[in-house]
Amino acid sequence: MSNDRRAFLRQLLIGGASVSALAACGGQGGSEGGEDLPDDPPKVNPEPDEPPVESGGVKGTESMSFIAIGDMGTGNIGQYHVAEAMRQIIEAQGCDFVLGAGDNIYEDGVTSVDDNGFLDSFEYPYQNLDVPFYMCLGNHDCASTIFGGGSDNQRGDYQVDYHYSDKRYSTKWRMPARFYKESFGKLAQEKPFLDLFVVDSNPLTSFYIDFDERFNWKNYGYPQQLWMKEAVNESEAHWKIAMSHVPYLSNGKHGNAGNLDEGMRVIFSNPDADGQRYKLFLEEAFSHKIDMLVTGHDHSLQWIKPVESMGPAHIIVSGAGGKSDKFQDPERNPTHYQAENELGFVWVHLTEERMLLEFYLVNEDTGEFRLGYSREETKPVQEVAAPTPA
Amino acid sequence: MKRRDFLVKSSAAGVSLVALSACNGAGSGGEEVVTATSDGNAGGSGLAGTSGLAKPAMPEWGGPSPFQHSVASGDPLARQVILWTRITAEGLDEVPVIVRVSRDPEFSDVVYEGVGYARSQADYTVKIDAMLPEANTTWFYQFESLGYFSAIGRTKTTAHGDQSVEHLRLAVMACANYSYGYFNAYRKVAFRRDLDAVLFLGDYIYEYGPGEYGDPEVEALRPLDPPHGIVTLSDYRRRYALNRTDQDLQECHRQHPFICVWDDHEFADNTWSDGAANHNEGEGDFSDRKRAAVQAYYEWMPIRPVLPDRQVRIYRSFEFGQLASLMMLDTRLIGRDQQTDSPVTARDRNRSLLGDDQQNWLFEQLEHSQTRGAQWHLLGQQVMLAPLTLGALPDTANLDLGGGAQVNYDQWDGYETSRRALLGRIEAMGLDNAVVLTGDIHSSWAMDVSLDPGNWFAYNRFTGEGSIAVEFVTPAVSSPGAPTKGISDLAKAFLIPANPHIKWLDFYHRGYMILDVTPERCQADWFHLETVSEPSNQEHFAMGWYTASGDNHIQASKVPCAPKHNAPPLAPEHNVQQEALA
Ligand SMILES: [Fe+2]
Ligand SMILES: [Fe+2]
Repeated sequence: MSNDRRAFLRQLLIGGASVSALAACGGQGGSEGGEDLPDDPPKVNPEPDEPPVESGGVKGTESMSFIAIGDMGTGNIGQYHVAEAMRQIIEAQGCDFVLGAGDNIYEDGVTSVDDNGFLDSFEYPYQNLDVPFYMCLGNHDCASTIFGGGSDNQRGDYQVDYHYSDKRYSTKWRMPARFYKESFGKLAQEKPFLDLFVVDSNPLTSFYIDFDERFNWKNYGYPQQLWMKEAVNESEAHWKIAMSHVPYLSNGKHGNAGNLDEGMRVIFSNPDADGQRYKLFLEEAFSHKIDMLVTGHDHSLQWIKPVESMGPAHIIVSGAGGKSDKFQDPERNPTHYQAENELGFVWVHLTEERMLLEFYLVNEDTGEFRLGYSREETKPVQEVAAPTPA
Repeated sequence: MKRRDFLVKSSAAGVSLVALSACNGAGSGGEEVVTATSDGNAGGSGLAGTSGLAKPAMPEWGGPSPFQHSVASGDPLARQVILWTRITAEGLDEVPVIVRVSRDPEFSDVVYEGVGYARSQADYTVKIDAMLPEANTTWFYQFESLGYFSAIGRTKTTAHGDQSVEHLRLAVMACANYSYGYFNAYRKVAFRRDLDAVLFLGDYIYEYGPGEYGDPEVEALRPLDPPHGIVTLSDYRRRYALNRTDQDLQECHRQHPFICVWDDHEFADNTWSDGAANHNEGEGDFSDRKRAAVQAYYEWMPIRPVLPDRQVRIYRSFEFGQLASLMMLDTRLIGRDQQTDSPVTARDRNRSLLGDDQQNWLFEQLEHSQTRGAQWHLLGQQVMLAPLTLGALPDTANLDLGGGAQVNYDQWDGYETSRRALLGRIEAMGLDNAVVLTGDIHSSWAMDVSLDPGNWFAYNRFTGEGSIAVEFVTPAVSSPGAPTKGISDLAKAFLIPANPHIKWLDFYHRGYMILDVTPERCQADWFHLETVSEPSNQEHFAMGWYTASGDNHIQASKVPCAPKHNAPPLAPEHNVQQEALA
């Protein structure tokens, strides 16, 4: 394994404890942290390891911006229109990186690292955007049918491999592992400005059972849960944001974790399809610790107000990057804002104390776009003093 | 550690570190545990561990021995155990009580002395959280007050979490209705020298008045006090006091530390967090009744408050060395949503049996137990976890088939979401060797625990494959099961074929379970009593069921486990100190 790659992996990890947590996931053939990849990895691209922003050595990061999109990988004209709207916002307002909340490549992912899907659903649509995309796996990325049943998790590995491929079209695609942590910016004492925690939710909630034992709860779900809990607990970043594909809460047809796809479930085979264990996963890893949870899966834009069980985190559903859909129950969870039947994305600006969210709606056919909603909030999780004794 | 050093240390700790008790979760069992006194509200306060203890000034007292309710101990940790007594001395309040703990029953090697005060606001009960110099050791203790010595008690500290333990034996008991029978079970358990502790899984008292729930012939000889259903603080106190006048129960407490949780009858029949089946508006506000019941429980039971200001929390954990972790749950009060009688509501995803806080705590404890490498993970709790149906069917989660016709929605069957969460976690963790210990149902059961026992693909009734834990249910001390052995056998003949995971049951007998744990296997031995209608010494070994380490399903044993060799002596009956005074 090349030294560059080792260094890169080290950067992904958060100290010794996480290394051991990763080791505990070993032997499942997944590629968390890439430890299980072949000994003969593709040569690492020189650029991607650089943090996307270095706001000067002394001064430290004062602010960051990012865009959250999801369910974008159709390769259709709508995706191009959203990309163009993003380009204009990035040019006008800035953007350090993009979060891709899964369903990156419709309808059934990719089957090799050279798959055309990478070009059609990612590289071409976003070719005028020069920012890194931090990607998350969705059910369609891990599916072998157009239905997106999620029973072919192994397919997700190719999206990780693409991150390490030296033959890729651009260096934008970032998915260093199926689930991972990434740090951005720097504050005093070398603390990151922002840590991003990315969950691989498909093995935890797929509609159909994946008979590949490497991805069951015992071999994958629970080790991922332990890893995530520890990564969040050890994070010293000022802002903490989590991203996952399947919603924690949503007013769309997929609904709330714990009762996902109510009414549809009768045709599903996976007993975890309702997301009961997934809900506890998210709460145990993130509740009262993160500032924002970004998901996709429902093809709409929603800003759901914080709920007791997740603490002060704001809950964003951004799943309208390529497909749009209507709400199933707009009253299910109280929102600041929600928009159905339209494509769009969310632009987020963070300073140390505040966060500004802007929801942009994009006309699928004409590409016309407009600001649908904008709102500023103080940082949800306040700096805690000393840890209280247990 | 030399005795003198220890006393000096505990002296310093006793006074200055009282405040720390708030941070001190039960079950920590570590070296850092320094709490020396129980909380004042918990039933008496104490200053403890004072070396060369200056004897507190005793009030004048010309009456009989104030130790009418004998002594008790409980919630053992590696270096701590709760010591309990009560002072009965009409007209006195704030009565100083001294306790001494020794390695031997002659008190020639005293390792701890402490003082507590019997106060009216705690019903004159005294609890002292004694700090002891050695883990996994048997101790003898005795209280002194008003010129009298109490009976000598015997207790045992647990092994440190990192200590290796080869053999653990626990008595498991539940459901002691005073007017339904004699406490012969307590007497039999008292004499078992080799027990590490007694687990009591609830229904230590019953709330009923005369004629409501008792055997009339027994009740005539064992009249209830107060002579009506209990509602107020004073009622609950009197009912505990009544039970504690029973000589068999006194003897059991005197010989063994208890680890107790409540079930419904410490409150009222079929309690949930905000009400009970046996509570009506004429009896006032349920929250007042609940508060009274909780207060009396903490006064009279040798339990250590987990959070001194939040006594409604009794879920807590213990460590018996590397061999076992024990998690005691509250499935009754703290988080339980109201019972239902509908199989649809039973599967409501918003209903909870444990409540979120307790469930999170439990999952953390299981993780901790697995991480620290404990061989066995014991869950002491009230109501049956495994389903009980009139015919088990597959229970595919997405179809909400229900798994067959459930018969008792007061148990986990009425809280399917909570059960799935727990079993789903055990499965996800790949946790081997989870053993669930249950009371409540006045009968004896041995069961495999599977996510879907009625589904041939998920659980094989012949091999036990697909079982992820096991459950042993202890019979009642005295509360009734089936009225005759014939009815019991009939029910058994019907229920076992209908419920493939249930391997054995007995509805008829009263008795108790001995849980015998070694690194190789965990076995429950059921001991059944001949009668509870009269005092009796007769019991028989009914059946043993064990799970071999890593198996997660049960097998029968025709013989009980052999007792431990060289068990320490029981606390002597003779009260030498008292006799010397006479
Ligand atoms: Fe989608
Ligand atoms: Fe999706």
